[in-house]
Amino acid sequence: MSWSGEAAKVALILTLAAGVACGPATPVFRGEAVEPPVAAPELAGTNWDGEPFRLVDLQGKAVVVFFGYTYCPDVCPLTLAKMKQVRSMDGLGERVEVVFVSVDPDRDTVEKLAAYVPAFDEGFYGVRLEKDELLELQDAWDLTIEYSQPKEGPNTDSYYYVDHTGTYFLIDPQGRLRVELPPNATPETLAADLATLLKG
Amino acid sequence: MRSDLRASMLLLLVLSMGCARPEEPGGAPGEPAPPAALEPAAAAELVVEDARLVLSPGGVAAVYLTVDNPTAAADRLTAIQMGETPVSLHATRAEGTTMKMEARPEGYEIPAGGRLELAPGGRHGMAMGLPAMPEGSERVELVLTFERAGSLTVEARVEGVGQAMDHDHSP
Repeated sequence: MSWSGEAAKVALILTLAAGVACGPATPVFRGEAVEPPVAAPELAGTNWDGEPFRLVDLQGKAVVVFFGYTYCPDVCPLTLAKMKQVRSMDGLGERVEVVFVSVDPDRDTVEKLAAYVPAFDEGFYGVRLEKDELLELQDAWDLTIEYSQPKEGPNTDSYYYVDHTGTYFLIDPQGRLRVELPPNATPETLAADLATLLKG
Repeated sequence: MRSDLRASMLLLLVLSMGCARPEEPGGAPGEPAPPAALEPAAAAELVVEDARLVLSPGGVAAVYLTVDNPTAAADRLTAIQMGETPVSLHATRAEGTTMKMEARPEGYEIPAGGRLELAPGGRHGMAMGLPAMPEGSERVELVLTFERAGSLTVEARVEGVGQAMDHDHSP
């Protein structure tokens, strides 16, 4: 009796230990985890191909959302090139959707986006929102968008800069915002966090 | 398939840039720098390397390069010109997670014995509108103007954005 009592205790401890070790692990991200995960804020506009775009339609895949504009010569094109590189890593490919949202709807027409976004990757989304819709997103996505006219250069209505949030927002296949990565995140870091997201 | 597409887009961009040739400025190689320069011979002492014109499908282009200044006097890069297209001097700066673009019309100092680096994600030149380049060009001439050394004409490689990734120095 006493032996079987001891055995029962040991079995119980082992079972508990196994439960702790093998239970659902909390994923570890390199970027800043959004805890608890929340449904990604709504995002809807027009894709570069003229079709309506809704973020919610991409559920089932990991999604990277970031903001930029086509007149930006330095960081924005590098960001898109970086995302192309990420998609080629770790077998991510079609399991990851990339969504570039223009912060400059006055200059970034759908036609302009059609000449820009697929030049990096035909599979990328390039989304234009009307300006009032874009500005309404600011709170939900915690975005900074500021338009400024430089003192030098051609003094025209079409020559201005757009300072904008450069964060990468990572959304899981359930449509939840899970990770935020800074603008200088490397392709390896982005790929690692996306792979973690896809593992669930 | 996709790389074919990218190559086609790049070709289209280059083709659409027209055939205007850069004007020969006063400070072409081998010629004396403008009289305003304090040290006309100094242009030869500044070493410009790795000059690149990176085309974005957005119709803008970035200029990246390095300038080494082995002389005992600081100098300043005040302007870049590509044919008739002025290349404005800019910097991308991260403030928290906000990416800011700033004009730097005052140019950039090159310390005595030091180096100036225009690189992705930081200081760079920006050409608005499609730069004028010969059809199918792989190289363009840039005229750099320095406060002391005068003008210096350099050749820049023409690259697509993917190639620029290899040199990404963003913070």
